[in-house]
Amino acid sequence: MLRGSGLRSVKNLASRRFISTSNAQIQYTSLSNGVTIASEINPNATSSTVAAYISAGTRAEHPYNNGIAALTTSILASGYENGVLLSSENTKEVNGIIAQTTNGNVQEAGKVIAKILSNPTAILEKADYASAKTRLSALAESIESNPSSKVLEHLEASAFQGYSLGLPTYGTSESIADLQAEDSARLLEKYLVGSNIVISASGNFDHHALADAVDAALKVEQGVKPVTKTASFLGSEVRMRDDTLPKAYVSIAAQGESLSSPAYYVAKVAAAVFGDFDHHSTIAPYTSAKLASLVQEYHIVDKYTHFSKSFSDAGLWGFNAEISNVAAVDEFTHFILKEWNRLSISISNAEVARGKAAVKTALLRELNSTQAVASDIATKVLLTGYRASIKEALEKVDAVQTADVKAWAQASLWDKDIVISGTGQIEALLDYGRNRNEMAMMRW
Amino acid sequence: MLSRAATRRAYSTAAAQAVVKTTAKDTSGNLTNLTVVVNNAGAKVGKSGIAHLLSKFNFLNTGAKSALRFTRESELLGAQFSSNVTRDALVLNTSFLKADLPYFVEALGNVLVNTSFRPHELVENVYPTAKADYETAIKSNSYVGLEELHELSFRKGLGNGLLYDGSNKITLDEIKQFAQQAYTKSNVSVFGAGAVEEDLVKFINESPFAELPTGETIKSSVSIFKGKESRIKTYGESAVLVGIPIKPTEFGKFEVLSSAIGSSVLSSDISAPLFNLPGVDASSTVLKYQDAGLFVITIKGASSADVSAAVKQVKKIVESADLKSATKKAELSIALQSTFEAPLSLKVDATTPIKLVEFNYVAVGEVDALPYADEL
Repeated sequence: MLRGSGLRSVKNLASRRFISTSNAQIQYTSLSNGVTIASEINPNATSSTVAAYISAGTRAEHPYNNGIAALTTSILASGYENGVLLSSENTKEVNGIIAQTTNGNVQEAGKVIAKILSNPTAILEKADYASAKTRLSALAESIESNPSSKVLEHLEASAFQGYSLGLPTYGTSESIADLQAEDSARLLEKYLVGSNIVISASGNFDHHALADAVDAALKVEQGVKPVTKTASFLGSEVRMRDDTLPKAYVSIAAQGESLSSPAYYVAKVAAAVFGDFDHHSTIAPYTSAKLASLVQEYHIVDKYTHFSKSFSDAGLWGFNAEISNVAAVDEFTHFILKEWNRLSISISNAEVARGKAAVKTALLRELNSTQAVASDIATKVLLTGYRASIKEALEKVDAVQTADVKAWAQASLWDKDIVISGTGQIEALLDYGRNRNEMAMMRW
Repeated sequence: MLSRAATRRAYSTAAAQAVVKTTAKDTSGNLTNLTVVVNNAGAKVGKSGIAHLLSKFNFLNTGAKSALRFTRESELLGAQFSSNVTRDALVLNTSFLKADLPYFVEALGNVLVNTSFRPHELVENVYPTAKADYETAIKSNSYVGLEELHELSFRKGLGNGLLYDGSNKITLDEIKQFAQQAYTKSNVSVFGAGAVEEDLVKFINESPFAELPTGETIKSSVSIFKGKESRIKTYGESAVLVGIPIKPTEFGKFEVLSSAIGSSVLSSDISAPLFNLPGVDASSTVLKYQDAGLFVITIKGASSADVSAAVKQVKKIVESADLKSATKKAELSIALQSTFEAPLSLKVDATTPIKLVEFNYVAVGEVDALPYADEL
């Protein structure tokens, strides 16, 4: 990450370095207090987003103040003022204060963001803490009441149990109930420091004018970016059987790659080799992946997606599925895990080529709004120190070979521990040992 | 394959000499989103549900290519494609790497001109997936309420159900005939985000798009009905929808109202009155169609008592809305809703206060405990 040159005066324009990359159109400015401002100018955008992200999330929490990062951010970033709509984005590792506005009003958005960062205590004191807690509780419960998101939340909780990365993103209704304003103050004191803040923006505006507007109004403490304890993966399972639900919801994952791992894109390609499947789509019978043709004939699964999810120092690689043919859960997990075995043994060039193409367009498709772009820039810069340009990312995907995928699978998937999470009618979900045994075969 | 110099960029909405209306903008990224919008082919046209069934036939077997081949080829290119029905139009979306533009222009042209409409596809692909769409949608009581609200407000046309509910019989021949009438040069518009216009026009003119029949633009008119009420007793959460059918000239006015009381587009604006009703999930939205619109306030929640209490606040919230101070908010809301395929430029209007007197009303769920329209 870029740093300021160390001149004392925040207002001194000379203390900033302007570095623009030519093809990606991202412009970075580093302020002397350590804050990085990064903008991607998009002449076609109909509106603009300016966002301030801090690296915190549940990784700044423990089980007794779980939810405090999301709660604090949601209080700081809600409402509307002067043509600027505020909202928040909360993940396990970052919290974002997002300002959306019309293209012409970007400087105002920058000022609003700077004002929030400069004096968060005043906003927290004025805010209705109780109703913010009610809102966050409702959000936390909505994750739990949707079986698919519940399964994923508990998958992560089980995989990284004992670490802050395993805590639920929005906390639980029990932990939220105990939160107090002092907890917010304590969080901000440690995490709202210059080197832990990235202001990212995307839209059709002038970067330097935005940087000036932010710089003039921003006053944050300098400080060292807090270090988080590395999370480690634990093979485990969590079964939340509920026969009142209409289907079985199952997710299984192995340890994946971190954001900065050299195998980051290899794991993405490996996940895309199996891809997504939806039984209720007109093209379900024609989908390429061998797994899809195995499962669709007998309707042993309704829907599945494969993911390679990465955090700063850990990752999860696996699938999430919903199955209405509940007696066939064991068949489905058998077929899918046997297909995973093939990654280590007999995956073909054509399958890898298809996976690479899917990853490339998915990377591009994710950045489909100014908000998504701002979020991506800030998250990457905060968690890995830099953001690869799209060109660089596409080149890295292109460079992935079938042998790389095989080598990765042999090292990371073959006979490795897994984490299993299920809810709904999971009577037919076999026990941990049976599924763990499917991660390898006796013949090669 | 095509490669384009990075320096060539164009932005234009001119129809140029393309055989169908074409709009393109080039971008610096590597992705193209190519969208075909077929006007006068949405749910408002023809037999109820027929547009949904036709949308399911898109990207199946064509004279040029089997569905299997097209699906697998586009997966190999990393592309995604989908076909959706709205009340106004059928929308075909494709997204792919820039170099694959000619392939997808050809494919979309074949869908419109060359679809085979095989009898087995209707039974094996189209009916079951349409049914699955419908069954997923009606699990939501607010969706059921919104469909009912459209029927009350417009009866025919925009009042038709969006999805095929299976109750009326639609034959393969009827779908074919509907496609012939819908897929014409005057109805079809192509939008290429991330495509050079002259290339796109060239590919379109060389593709099956050129074989589309000319067709005529159908002038449709809409009748608006107000003061109607419907109550649907069912299980699940309770939902109340209050709707005002509006003319396109009133969109700006109602965008201001929506922004003032709590718009679903500006859902994080927590000080808005609708977002502060206890125990319920409430919001408002302006549904904008070609010939008319529907301003909808939705209030839903697990507790019918909470919903009931909230509904009784609605009249006060609407009539005491501070429109003057919400104009800038409405402009932001309009900018956030504006897309390349459907750019929005509405003039906001905060001059006339809006009274909630003539409206349509739908209650779904535990209707015994929900108020009647005249109790608002």
